Amino acid sequence: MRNVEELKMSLKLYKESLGEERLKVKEDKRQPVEIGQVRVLFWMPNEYVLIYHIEDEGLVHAVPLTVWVSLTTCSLRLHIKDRIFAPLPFVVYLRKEILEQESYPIAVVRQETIEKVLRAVDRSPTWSAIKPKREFLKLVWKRYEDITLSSLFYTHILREEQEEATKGLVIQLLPYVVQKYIHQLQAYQRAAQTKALKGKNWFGVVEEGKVVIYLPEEYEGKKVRIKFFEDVIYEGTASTKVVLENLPDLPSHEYLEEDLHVEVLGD
Amino acid sequence: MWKFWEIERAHFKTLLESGKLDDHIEELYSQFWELPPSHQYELVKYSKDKEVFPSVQTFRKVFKVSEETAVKFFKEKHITFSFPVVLSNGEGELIKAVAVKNLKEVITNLKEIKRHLNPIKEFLKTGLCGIF
Repeated sequence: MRNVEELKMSLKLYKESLGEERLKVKEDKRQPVEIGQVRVLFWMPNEYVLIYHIEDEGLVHAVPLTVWVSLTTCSLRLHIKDRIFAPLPFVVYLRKEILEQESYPIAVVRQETIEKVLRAVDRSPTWSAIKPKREFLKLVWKRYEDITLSSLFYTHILREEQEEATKGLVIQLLPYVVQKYIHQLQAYQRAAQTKALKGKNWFGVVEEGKVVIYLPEEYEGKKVRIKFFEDVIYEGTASTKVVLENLPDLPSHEYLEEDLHVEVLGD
Repeated sequence: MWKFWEIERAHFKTLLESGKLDDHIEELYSQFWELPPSHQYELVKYSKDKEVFPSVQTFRKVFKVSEETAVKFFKEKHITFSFPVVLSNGEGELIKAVAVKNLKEVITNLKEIKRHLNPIKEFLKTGLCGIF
């Protein structure tokens, strides 16, 4: 093991080189992120990452590499472009667009190397009893901390937005059908109202003038018949989401729980 | 079987809070990893608020935790909170979270940060659950 004095000196040099500056790659020179790339981040001082996974939504999983090899807890060494790198004992998550903007690929490693690095990261402690190492790990993590958390949450929100609901099958409830049952509907009105409904084989939520019905997965693509009381209001292929529009203007639509029927007719 | 992940977020919340999905709690947890994060948050929050839980076996299978952690998750008190984050596009967002402590292990719906919750586990000297 290196002399602690040497480690202290290395840490001191690293600290002295730390700066706020983060340079951006010119737009026409930006390179897409790919698995296996070792990319240099143009921070002060430069940091390096090895890309090992890219999620569909653009979240990149990477292992930070360092040229301050004596200060990390990973014993693995990588010889890349005449320089020696060592992994840090943690992984970081970065948005693809940020990496393209602030970093540039300097090499591509093989899948075996990626696996070797990931194994080394897993086996290496994130804490060290040697103070300069401990402090170095903390300092480097600090550099990635904000960007990692914001990248994670940004992706998290992006996923939620992508869940954007499909419109589903839309059925218009005809006024004459409603009129036919108006007395029964009025008799159903209760003081307590709920927007959530549960039929024999469906769930529904009432919105202004309509109800959105969710059918079981196995109904999808099957031929169904939907009845409002005794009247058939739809016969055809089902979707797991059905929107019934033109609901009568009543405070409660709980009558639907007993009087909206969905029957499967066949495939 | 319903595709609970296809139910719109607001509808999912309404149905949960009305108790209409209580009979399907096993199915809901079995689909936990198919659900969008917002549904996961609403489901866990509802479970803790109303004490409507799946079986210990289902919970253990979904989160890959011990029986002790599952039972403690059901019993221990929970808190809900929100915190601001700055996204990588520079915009701010308020993230809602539900947390339960005094567990043996760490439970979260953000698998990527599980590793980063471990220092908190060490600090608290107890496992915790964080659903965002």
